[in-house]
Order: sequence, then C-alpha cells, then structure tokens
Amino acid sequence: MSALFNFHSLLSVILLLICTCAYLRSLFPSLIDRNKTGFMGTFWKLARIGERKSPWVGAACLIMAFTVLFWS
Amino acid sequence: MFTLWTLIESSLLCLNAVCILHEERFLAKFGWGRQAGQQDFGAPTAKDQVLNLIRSIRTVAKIPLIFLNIIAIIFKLLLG
Repeated sequence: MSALFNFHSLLSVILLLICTCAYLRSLFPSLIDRNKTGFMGTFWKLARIGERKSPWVGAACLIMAFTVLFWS
Repeated sequence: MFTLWTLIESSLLCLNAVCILHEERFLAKFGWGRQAGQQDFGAPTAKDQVLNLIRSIRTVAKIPLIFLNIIAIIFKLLLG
C-alpha cells in the first residue's frame, strides 16, 4: 500500500486510472456507464475527465514521465 | 536515476499521453481530424505524417495499454 502514502506515486496512479477508464469507456461504454454514483461512479467520473480534458491529461502524462526520469 | 522500472513507467506515460488525445473533441476542433489531410493528393506534409503517426499509435496501442495500465496500477499500489 505504499503508493497511497507517496504523493508522486499517487499522482501517477491517478493519471493511469484516468487513461484506463477513458480507453475502457471508448471501447465498452456500458461497462463504465452502468453505475454513475457511489464507489463505482468514481470510474465514470475519471473516464469523463479523460474524455473532456484530454489535452491537459496528455500534457500531465508527459510532465509526469519527465519527472519520473529526471527529477525524483 | 535510470532504473529499468522508471524507464518502463515513463515510456508507458508517454504512450498514454499520445493515446488519450480525443479524436472528435480535441483534434477535430483544430482541423487535425481524419478529414484534414485527405483533400490534397500531393505528397503528405509533415503535419499529415505526425497526425497519421498519432492515429496509428492510438489504433494499435489502445487495447494493450488498458492491460499494461492495470498491471502498472496494481504494481504501484502493492510495491510503491
């Protein structure tokens, strides 16, 4: 459980989750849209972020890749 | 520090950064969509080639990236 206590790892886990949910929703929309509230609704929200704000998420992914290599 | 894990993670993040770009919502809004390079029959310009590369990466790598992302998330949650 050490990624939850490290802010840098937590950020990259959130970015990877946003990307995965956006891909899954573009392939199987009913899988993500089935429940939009509660705990499983988190994935729907992440997928919506990945669709609406895709250039910002892409830029954040690039910055994260750079900091993983050269900063930490 | 260039360990193998950081190299894998940063390349995974770069691939995600290309694949996440939405075709209709983002690229088509700036005239970078599917119809952009198909009117002229001349040699493809550099912009056409870059857009074609992005589209091919998105087509090929989307389904494997789902599994790779899930594996990376589980790995990071367990090991940090």
